[in-house]
Amino acid sequence: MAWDDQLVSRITDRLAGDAELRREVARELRAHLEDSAREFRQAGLGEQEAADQAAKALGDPRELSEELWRANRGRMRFRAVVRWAASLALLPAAIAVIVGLALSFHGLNVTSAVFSEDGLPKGVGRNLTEEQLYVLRGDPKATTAELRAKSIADRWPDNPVYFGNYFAFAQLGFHEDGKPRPDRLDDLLALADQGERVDPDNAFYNVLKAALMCEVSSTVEDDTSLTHEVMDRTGKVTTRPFRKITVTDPAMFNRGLEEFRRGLAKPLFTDRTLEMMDLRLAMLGTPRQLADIVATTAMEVSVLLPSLGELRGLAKAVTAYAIDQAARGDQSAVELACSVELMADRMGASSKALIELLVAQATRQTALAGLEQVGKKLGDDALAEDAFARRREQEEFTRDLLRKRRAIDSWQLPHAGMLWSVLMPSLPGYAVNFEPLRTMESLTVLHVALLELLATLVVLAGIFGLAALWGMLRRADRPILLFVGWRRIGRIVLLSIVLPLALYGPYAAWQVFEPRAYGLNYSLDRVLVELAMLLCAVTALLLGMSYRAIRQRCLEIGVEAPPPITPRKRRLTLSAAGLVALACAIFIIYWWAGPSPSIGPFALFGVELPVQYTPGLVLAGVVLAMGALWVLRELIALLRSRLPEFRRTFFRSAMPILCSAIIVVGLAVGALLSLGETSAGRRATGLGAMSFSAEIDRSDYRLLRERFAAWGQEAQDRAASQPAE
Amino acid sequence: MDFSQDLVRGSVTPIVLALLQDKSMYGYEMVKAVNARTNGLLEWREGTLYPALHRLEAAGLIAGRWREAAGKDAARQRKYYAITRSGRRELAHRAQEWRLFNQAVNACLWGA
Repeated sequence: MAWDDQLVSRITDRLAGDAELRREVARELRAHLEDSAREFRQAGLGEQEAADQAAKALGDPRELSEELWRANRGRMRFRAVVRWAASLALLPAAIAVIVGLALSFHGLNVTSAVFSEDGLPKGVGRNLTEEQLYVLRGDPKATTAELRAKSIADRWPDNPVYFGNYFAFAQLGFHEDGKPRPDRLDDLLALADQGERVDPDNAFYNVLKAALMCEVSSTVEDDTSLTHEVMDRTGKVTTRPFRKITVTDPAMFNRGLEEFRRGLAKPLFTDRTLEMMDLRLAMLGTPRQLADIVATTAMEVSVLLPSLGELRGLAKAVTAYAIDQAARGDQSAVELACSVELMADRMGASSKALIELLVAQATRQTALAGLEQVGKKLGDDALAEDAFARRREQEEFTRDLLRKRRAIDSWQLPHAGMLWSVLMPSLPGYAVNFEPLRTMESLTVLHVALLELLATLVVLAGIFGLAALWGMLRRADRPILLFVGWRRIGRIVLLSIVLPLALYGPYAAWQVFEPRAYGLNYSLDRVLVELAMLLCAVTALLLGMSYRAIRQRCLEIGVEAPPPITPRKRRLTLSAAGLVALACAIFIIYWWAGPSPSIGPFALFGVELPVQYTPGLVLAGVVLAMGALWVLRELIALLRSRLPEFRRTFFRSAMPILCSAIIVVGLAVGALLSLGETSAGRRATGLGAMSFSAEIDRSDYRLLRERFAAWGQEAQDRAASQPAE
Repeated sequence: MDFSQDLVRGSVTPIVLALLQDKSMYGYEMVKAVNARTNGLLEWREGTLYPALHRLEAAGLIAGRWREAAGKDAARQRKYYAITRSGRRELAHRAQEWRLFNQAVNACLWGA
């Protein structure tokens, strides 16, 4: 009624600074006046008289206006500040949360970590001292890997590990097209002399000098006229040729042999490069994210073991020389061949990486085959038979080792996860706990999904903000930024985001932690479908509940609002969602009840992603497309609605709700994911971590290494007993 | 009877809280309830109620919520106020205060 409106407008005039509050108070007073006037009418008064009496009963309008302003001014001030903050700060804060999450997500840095020049992840160095960083990276100004390694050795000249690391890089330039470069020999020998001074108890530098000198002073080639039989891991016997040697520089060759003998008398035998790697890995600390593990793996892969080839070459040369000497009737050939066996025993017993052990194994076979031949040439049958027996014992030991335990059982692969399924070494008895890395992989995918969800919401918030701004620019009256109330916002965040995530979280955790849990190499398609459904459900619920809350609030303050979703529309939406959900359910049930991993269509390595994950990707795409279409349809319907005030109010008020949800969920879920990843990373430092220096410890090859130690002891005992005989 | 305005104003808070302790009410309903309970002795100037309600709402002693009225007015929405937990504590405090104040004034006036 017109009189009503005028009176109410006068009373609420002082609340004009808060349009929403003014409208609400006006609506309350109007309802009061209507109730009051109706009662007067029921008492027999006429329309106008009743209205006048109702207005009179309300009191003096000016006094009431003043009183209302006094009662609400604190609230108005507070709401003005909150509105200002919501308009200006919420969207940037939401974007900052997303950017923070993206930056803290090292998954994005994996590639740069793997392919960076120093092989270290970008995040490395946060808590490291300058000295530790120097040990990890070397002099930043150095232009090559060798110079970086040199800078570390130069800074700590007495450290044998740093020098060993530098020496490994220095060796790289010694060969050109597979042949030694005599012009670099002196430099390398000088460097090895320096190494001997830094690391005096280590046989490595002497043996390596011997290898270098023998290599440049002789040529070694296959001697097809002289062969021996070798038994492989399956028990199959094959014939291999011995080598024949041509010494081109006897003086240097003999100097080499001198160095070889001198070196073997020393107690240590190590090139130090794996010690350097372990030292660096210890500096990197607990991996916090999957990317840290990938980066450290990349660092391990980049470790060089160039001396192995040199030592193998030395073994061949000295053995061939011993056979040659034996053919000439020289008894010292026995001692030479035994020296090679001793070197192999010491290499094997001190090996850290599997490749070292395997080279030692091959070297010992060469040495024993050579010793057998030396015995035959010297007419010492006992020596030849003993050497043959010991070689056969080694071959049988290795064959048994590989026969007793299969390398990797096929049923293990679906549980291994992306990284392990590709990188897992195929070793007998390899003990590994897949869970930490599997968890980290799953959390990485969840991290990406969270980022996608938040990015979707922030794009929607941005669209709403722009739509509101467009409305503001085109019309003089500003749309109201509604206070839907903390409770409503809390309920929206709780029911539309926290509840779905709280339901999915334990399920996802169970999927990873249960003893027979599958890795992403096997389950990525199912996980993608689940995440697509979750993303759509959260977005739909968030928009639907925000729409409902804003609509309700509009009605409360007297803004005309469209009717709620009509049954016909709801039926349509529900039918479409139901169909997609049914398709997803069938897919997931098939996934669980379908063929078993070892024979099923998905039991492939993670690298075959396009074929393996097609059904999952297609369904995830369909679910997301349906969700996007639904949102688009609702937005178009809203834009075309004939209620401009509601439309503009919705756009202006939905933006802060979405931003609040992004901030709350981004911080809370992001922190939870980070904690989960760090915790899994801590577990991964146990059996789950990949370390080449632990391959022997974790597999049955440790028995072979122990055997090498025993063989070494036996060889020493034999050598000690010979003079007495 | 016309009470002093100061007296009326001072009594609004405990009366509103007392009215709401059993059920939630909207403004006009409260006015009617006071009139009925006091047999018209305490006849509020209706406008004084709303600033008081807003003050109590801002202080968190009562909470307002829009909903449809019951009975014959079912289609119409009104703002119903309900007492909060701190409102109940405030009511207990105000009632005790009023009892003591009443005793003191009575003692002065009648020597009881």
